[in-house]
Amino acid sequence: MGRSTLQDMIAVSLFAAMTAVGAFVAVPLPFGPVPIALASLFALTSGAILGKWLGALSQVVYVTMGLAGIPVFAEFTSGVGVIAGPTGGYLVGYIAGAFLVGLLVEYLPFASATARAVPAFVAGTLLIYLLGVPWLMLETGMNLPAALVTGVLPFLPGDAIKIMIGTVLYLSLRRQLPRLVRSEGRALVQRQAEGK
Amino acid sequence: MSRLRASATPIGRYHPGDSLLHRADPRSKLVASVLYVAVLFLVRGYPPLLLMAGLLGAGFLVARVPPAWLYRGMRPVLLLAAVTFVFQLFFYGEGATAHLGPLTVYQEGIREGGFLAARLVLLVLSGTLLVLTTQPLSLTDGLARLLSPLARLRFPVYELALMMTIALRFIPTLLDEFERISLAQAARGADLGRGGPWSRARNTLPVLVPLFVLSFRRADDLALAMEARCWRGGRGRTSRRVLAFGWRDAVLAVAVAAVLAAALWIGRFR
Repeated sequence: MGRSTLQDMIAVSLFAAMTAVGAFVAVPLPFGPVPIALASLFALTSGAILGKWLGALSQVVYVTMGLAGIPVFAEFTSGVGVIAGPTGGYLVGYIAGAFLVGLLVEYLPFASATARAVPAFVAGTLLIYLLGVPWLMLETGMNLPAALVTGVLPFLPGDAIKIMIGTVLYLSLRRQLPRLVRSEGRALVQRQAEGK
Repeated sequence: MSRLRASATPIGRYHPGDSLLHRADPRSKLVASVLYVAVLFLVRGYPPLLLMAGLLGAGFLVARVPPAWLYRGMRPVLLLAAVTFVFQLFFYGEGATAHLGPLTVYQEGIREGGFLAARLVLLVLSGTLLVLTTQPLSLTDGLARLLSPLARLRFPVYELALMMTIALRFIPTLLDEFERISLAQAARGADLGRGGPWSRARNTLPVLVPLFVLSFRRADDLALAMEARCWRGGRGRTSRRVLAFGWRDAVLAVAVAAVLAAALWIGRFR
């Protein structure tokens, strides 16, 4: 059964809302003061489940909500101030990251979904930092080592965990909601169609 | 036994009130806050910054936001501002003024660090004031109307606004559902807060998977309900609440324009 535009739009809204909820929910970690915020997990998962375009769109909706001033960012902040502020790069990274994860889950030439999902989530996480760290440096005048210490290192263990959760979440939703998951391995499907 | 928890900081939530700022049109408040942030990034030096802090302070006074409440929500931002300041203190510029052990404090660093930290705080406070005085639905409504000229360029403004509104409606439902599912799993013996990081991570899955499955089912129900009611997109739709530019917006516009212009003027001579 195909999905209507309206169904797609609502699924996109749902992921935008999920990312917002993820920004409010903190999983306490046994080490370090920084809890894992689940927002980036849901941002990347949106790409894996909805596909690159709709996944990125869901994050555009999320960021636009924050831009409009609805307190959906971490610590219930919002507004142009946050996007323009030191952590704005991470938020833009959510959009790019969702797209990249969707792209890789779709096109990586591996037969198993796990083998496609893990590198996709890793690449998405890296892309978020690639946009977030220079932005942080620019805003606070930190140099690279300082930015890495405040903006990357404390989050790495959490990221490893999130990559794992994201992968398992994608795999189990793929089984339970096959109708929804649209980013199947395209390369693989084509190869099967060609009878190889 | 601990469950997954949702943190509840008051900041960034609508603070009910009846002030001039509360009753102003969301569009004028949105434009004012965007301009404020833009000017904040344009000016250098303390005098314009002080002027802009004054404007924001006046806004908080008008909106009657309890300072203690505000402080509680601002703590993480203040911490980041402090880190910014301390960093600049040691790694910037010339003119050593003090020595703390092996580290040298530069005069230039104090000035630059103070500036960056103050700008950071103002940045966040300006967005906070908007949210404290405007209901979320008015915000999406206001943003959609501000962007509506883009609809002529085939940019899907109404669809974006609809998705924002639906997402907004989903948030409390998802939070409730999250709470309920983690209680239900706890009742079945799942211990969500024990063990090393890996087992903790694995333990979130019995909450996340049902959360997603349930939510998508609900999302499809909503789509069906809207289609059954012949929803056909945003174009040409009318709204029950019509936004209007009133005297409050004129007051706001004049005050903001005057202060921002003055800040730019002062900043020009530096």
